[in-house]
Amino acid sequence: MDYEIVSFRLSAGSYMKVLASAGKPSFMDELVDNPKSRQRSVLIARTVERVNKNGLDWARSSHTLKTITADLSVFELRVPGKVIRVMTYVHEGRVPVYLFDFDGHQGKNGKLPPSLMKRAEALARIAFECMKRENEDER
Amino acid sequence: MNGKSGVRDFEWLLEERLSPDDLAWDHAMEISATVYKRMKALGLKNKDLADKMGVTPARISRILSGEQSMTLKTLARLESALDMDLSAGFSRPALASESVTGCQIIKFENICTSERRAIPLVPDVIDVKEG
Repeated sequence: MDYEIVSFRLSAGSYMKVLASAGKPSFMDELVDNPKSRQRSVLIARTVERVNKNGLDWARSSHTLKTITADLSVFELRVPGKVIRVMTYVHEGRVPVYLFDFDGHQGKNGKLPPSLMKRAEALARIAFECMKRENEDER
Repeated sequence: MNGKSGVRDFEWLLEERLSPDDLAWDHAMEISATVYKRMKALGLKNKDLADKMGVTPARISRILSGEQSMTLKTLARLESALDMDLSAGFSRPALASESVTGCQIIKFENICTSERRAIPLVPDVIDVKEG
């Protein structure tokens, strides 16, 4: 399956990069386009905007971004006050790419289910390749 | 449109109304970001700010994580310790008065919804302004 990075504009100069299957709606498209999950997308977008505005250092200090796998640069974006989470890959320590949303507090002992971890790691590797390709295309 | 062919505009998502609970979290995270930036500018670590405020470093961590049970007193201590004004307060809706022949109309702009409506001050003619 082919993947691509799609960008959503949140405000002037502020974008949300999302990994999607090529030619298919991303997880954000699906959340936005479904009236039942619209509010979820609003809260995610607001959290991402806040990360963009205040930086990754703040995001880590405030636990908005929580490290999941440091060597793969996988983080969990946490929407404050909610169980809403977004698995995130951070490219070169600078650019977040959002992989998929899920609900936190679902695994045993507060840990993430192994299947979720496996999915996150696989998509993080794909996101890395996509970002590398995107950066090469821009040169 | 996405990918190389374009960017989808999600700006309108940020303008959607929040519930009071979500708004409270929004405010808490804004305070967190403001405090964090100020700490960085002053070169303060959590412990330094905690000492200035007379609280524990754990408390500072909670503020940075978006603590919601913050009292006005804590806010005041933050302002004092960080030498800044955190009192964003409630924004008064923008009021613009405009004289039109025969009556004075106040345009009321609702900051949350960007909704505008004209509210007649009184139904009858009260004032005709010139110039």
